[in-house]
Amino acid sequence: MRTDRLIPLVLGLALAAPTATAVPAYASMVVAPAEPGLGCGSAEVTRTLASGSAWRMCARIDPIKGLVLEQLQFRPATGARETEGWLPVVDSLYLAQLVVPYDSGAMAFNDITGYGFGDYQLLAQDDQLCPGSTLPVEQAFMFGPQLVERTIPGICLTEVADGLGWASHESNDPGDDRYVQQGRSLEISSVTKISWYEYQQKITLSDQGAITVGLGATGDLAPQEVFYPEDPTTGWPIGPDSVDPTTYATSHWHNAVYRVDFGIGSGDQQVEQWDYEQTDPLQPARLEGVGTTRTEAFQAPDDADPQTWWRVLNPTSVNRDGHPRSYEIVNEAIQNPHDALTRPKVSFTNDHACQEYASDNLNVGCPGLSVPDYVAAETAPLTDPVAWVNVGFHHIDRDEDQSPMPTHWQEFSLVPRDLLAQQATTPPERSCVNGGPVTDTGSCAAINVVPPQVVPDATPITVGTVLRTGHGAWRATRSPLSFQVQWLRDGQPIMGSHGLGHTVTTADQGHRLQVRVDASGYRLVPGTATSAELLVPSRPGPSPTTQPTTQPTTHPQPPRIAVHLGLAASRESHPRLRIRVRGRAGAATGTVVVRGPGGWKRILSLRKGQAVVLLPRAMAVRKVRVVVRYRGDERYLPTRRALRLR
Amino acid sequence: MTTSTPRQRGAALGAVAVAAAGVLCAVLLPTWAAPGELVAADPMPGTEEGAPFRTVGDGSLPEAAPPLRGPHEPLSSAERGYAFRLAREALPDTARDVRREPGGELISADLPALADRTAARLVVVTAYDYATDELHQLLLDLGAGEVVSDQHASGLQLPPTEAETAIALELAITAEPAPTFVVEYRELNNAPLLTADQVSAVAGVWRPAAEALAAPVTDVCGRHRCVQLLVALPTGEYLDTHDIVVDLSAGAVLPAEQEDHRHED
Ligand SMILES: [Cu+2]
Repeated sequence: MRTDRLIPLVLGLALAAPTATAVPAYASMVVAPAEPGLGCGSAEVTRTLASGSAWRMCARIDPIKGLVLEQLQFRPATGARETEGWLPVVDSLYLAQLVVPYDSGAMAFNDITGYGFGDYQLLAQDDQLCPGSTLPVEQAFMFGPQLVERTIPGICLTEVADGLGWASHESNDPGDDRYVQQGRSLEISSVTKISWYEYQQKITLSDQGAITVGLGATGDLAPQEVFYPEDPTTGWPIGPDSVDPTTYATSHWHNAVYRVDFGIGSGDQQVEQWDYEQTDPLQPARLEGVGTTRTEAFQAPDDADPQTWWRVLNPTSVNRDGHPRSYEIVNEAIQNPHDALTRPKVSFTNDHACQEYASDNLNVGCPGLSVPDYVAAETAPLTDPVAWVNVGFHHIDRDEDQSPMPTHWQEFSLVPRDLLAQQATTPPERSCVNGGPVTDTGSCAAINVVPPQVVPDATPITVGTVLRTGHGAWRATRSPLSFQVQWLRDGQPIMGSHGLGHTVTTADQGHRLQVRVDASGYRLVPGTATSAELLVPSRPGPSPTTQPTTQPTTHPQPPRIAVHLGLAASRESHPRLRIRVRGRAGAATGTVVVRGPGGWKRILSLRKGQAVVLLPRAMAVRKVRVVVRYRGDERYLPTRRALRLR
Repeated sequence: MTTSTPRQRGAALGAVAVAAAGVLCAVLLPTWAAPGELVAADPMPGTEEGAPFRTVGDGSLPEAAPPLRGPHEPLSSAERGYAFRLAREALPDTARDVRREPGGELISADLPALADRTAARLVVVTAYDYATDELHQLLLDLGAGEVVSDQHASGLQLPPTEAETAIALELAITAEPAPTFVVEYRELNNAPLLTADQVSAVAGVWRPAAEALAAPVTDVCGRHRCVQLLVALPTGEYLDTHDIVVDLSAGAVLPAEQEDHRHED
């Protein structure tokens, strides 16, 4: 026996009309209310990136440490969808030591504690060093009995393009919705000259909330006199072979140690370590991850598993998913294994003000100590974590290092992990994609595609003329949209005028009328679209003018989708879904996309407005939900229909 | 092998026109001999446009508290100057600077660590007392004009000041027998190196490595304030200074013994 059941479908989509403006409701979220600052005066930096995310902090130059960031805070482009106001993430961040030993063993330099990165070593930024804007740096020190000073542009702030931020097609259908955005970052940098080397300290703050801390070295290689011995084992020949004897530019390490004092939200924080293990020899690909809260100060083991990673989290500061906010330390640099200070990838202690430098500590409260001493001395549980991050670079000179030496970089990153429930620049259309299987398609936000249009039923317009409008066209959404119409006179709402028609009154004469449509739906980000203005003449006269004046003669219409489910008559044949798409202009052309549970999906071309798809047998008996989506053609708008098979 | 003999120097040093410290050096600085009298070093060839330091007023430190900024704001020059004044008054009367003048060598003034800040305008001043070879770190409350705390320790060496760099260079130039870089200078320029303004210098703290061999230099440096000089010609070419360390505490130039074994083979 074979039964065909008709599943009636009515899919209404409002008439589209051409128009002027479409303002999504979320746009208002980027306007920050007046808020108290960080209290650091000329050192305060607040920057909103072109992609909408923002950073603020205090940035200054310490006479010895150089660039220091304090009170670093992030605000995602998604704004109030994620969080109110700013998210504090880092209390302070700076380069706490830079050890440069030459492989010959003859020389080693502590460029931070022995030379210093501030004062006269700091270079003034100019248009060539800094393509962005600068912060003034006031410096003063004693020269003998006298106080000397200068104020120079010492910190550079540049917003840069990061390349592709994200790209996603909703399906393999090239006509489907596509989301693409270029990434943006703010670079904060300074340049310090220490003899032949010129270092750029650069901290890159991305629109995703990531913090990349880099040290670039340029300038020139060490001078010939001391650093070019005839020893091929500790250097590299970079001069002509014809010169006798051959000398070798000495290889060396740049061992940078950064101090990161985390300040994620407020209250106690934790350090968590994640390890991964093969537990079943029969399933070698199976890896089990275990997270452990480290309650005592520690340094990463010398032979740490490369899979192991660490994060700092705040158990009482949770994102909208209820997950504790955290930052993960991503350190892909190498570490100098020949020194207990520089060997661990990272060490953790609590924040103690006297533990200022990673070695040769210059603070009298903890004189001369280094990170291994701090770790050994820590007795309190880790609740206010400081990470000491070792970022090494073994510089083996090469011909191309001459001259000037192209900048070589060493860096690590702090990457947000659950700082937010979704990524920081999630577009409103994807704002409801948050965990679980994603079977629904369509926008999570009311996004206007074609704004509403106002059309008079007769001209010239005079008292009694009826102006008509529609809702405009909106991107297909995950739940049905409902609309609210409001007529406007000179931008102000007209009391009581909420219909699709408005009858002109004497009050309208000589004024500009337009219509605003607010769209909303279940769990959708609402949206708003406004028509072009229409001037009502002061007295009966010639035809009205509209802005813009171009007006298509025909507009795409919404088609109707009808679906028949033909159940299987025998075990050999599959149930079939017959889909018919047509409207006032006859049969639709183009494609339909049919989706079912578990990622089941078929793309079909319409023939004479019809297509047939075979269903897996299980689907027809399980009351499953199926979504049919029509992509539209030149006469019909895209249309979507969700239905449950019975 | 270098065999410079340490040579003691008195406290009174001749005028040093400083072209020290890096490439920013269209420096306008006072001399030792005549405080307040300004000596401008020539801008060095090949350096970028000058960003010179200038004396604040007549160079003397403010007696009264200047207008104070918020606790997290960068220090103004006047606030630094006032902090230096408070620190100098708080140091022992016996404290001496690198020239052996009273007051101690005032090295730096900046904000305390974030965790140590309060609603008050707090500044940490670090000073070196050459009379005792101790480093003083004073936490000052500028608003109250008071010392909050004063800690000191020996064996801590901050980066050298401009003045210390100038003195170290002067000591090295006049050391006998002449260090390698002085000989080199004469060979390269067919003229003797007589004054500091013929070269530029950067100085860094020198302290022996933990495993260093016993030698005069490893014996005293660390306890003493020793610096390593990096000396360049106006052309930017560096001279060989690796054979000497300047002991500012003793006013002496020491052979950097432990580095010389590498030349013996
Ligand atoms: Cu290098």
